[in-house]
Amino acid sequence: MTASPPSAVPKTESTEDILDALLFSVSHDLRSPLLTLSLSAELIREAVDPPPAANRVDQAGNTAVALDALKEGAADLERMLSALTTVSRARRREQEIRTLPVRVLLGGHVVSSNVEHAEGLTVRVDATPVRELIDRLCGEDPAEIRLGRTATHVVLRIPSRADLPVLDGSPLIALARSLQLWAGTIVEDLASLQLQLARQAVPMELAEGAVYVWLPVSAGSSR
Amino acid sequence: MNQGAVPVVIVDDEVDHAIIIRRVLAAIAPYAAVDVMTDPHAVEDRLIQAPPRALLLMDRMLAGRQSIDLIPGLLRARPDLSIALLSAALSDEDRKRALAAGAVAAAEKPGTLDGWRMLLRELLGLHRARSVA
Repeated sequence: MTASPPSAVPKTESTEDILDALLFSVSHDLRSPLLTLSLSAELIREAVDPPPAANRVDQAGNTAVALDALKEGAADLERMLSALTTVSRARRREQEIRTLPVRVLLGGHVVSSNVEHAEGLTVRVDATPVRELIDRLCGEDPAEIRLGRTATHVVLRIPSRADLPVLDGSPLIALARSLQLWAGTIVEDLASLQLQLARQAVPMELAEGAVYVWLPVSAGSSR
Repeated sequence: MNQGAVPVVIVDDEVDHAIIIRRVLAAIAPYAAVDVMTDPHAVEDRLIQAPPRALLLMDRMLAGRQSIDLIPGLLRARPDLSIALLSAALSDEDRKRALAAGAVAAAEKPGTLDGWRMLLRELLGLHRARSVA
């Protein structure tokens, strides 16, 4: 049993909100592993050249702790910088926006809908991020995609094989608010795809374990 | 100076930070009884069970959420606790918010071991003064 797609086109967060959240998390979240790296280096330095007894951190196991922390701090930094690179590429990726029938866009998947001739509708979209989104959520097997319709959009409900996290806002704002928490997770992938879709004025929303996408119906599409 | 066991709880989901803070504390305050909490889930419920008159060294971001918002409720339930808020980056506005929420101190995490020694001595001193007041 699949839920019907919501009818209202969701409001998207403003660029100002996203930028504000991202600046905070970059300044906070990236500094955190940097602190780990510099403190670990100091622990190793002190193991080599111990300070006065009053300040001496117990040397037993100190170097091992510091080496583990160095490795984890560097991996953490790499994970967050990689998320920023992913989002940056999503902003710059070339798009090929075309008018195409929904049945072509969703070819290979099981489509269900109460809308008459839904698959015959044509939408104006770059198909690549839509298909990548379906692959990311459903894997390579055919997905059961539910179609809805508003006056201006075809609404896709794409179920997710994996549990989706409950987010306060869209994947993009969630990632922008906390690189530490979401970098390297499905939220990073969804944020990147959301950004590519947003550039085409295609809203996307997570709800009830699925992702909803609003595709603009092209002028002259059959009704 | 009274150096009986001072209960300290480090609350930080950055596990490496928590370990390093604990090691520095062990060096400068061997009399402190230190607990470490790195799992940020249901942290408020678990902190209510903190030892009496404990000093909480609490990271400002826990599982991506601001922990400043936890302070008033925690202090209502446990007014005996002293909470120091620590963060990798802390603006003046955030510091004021944390103090207004009831934290005894709010500081950026130092980038050097000497910085940590100085900060932790200061926080233990503040806590001691508050405990005898």
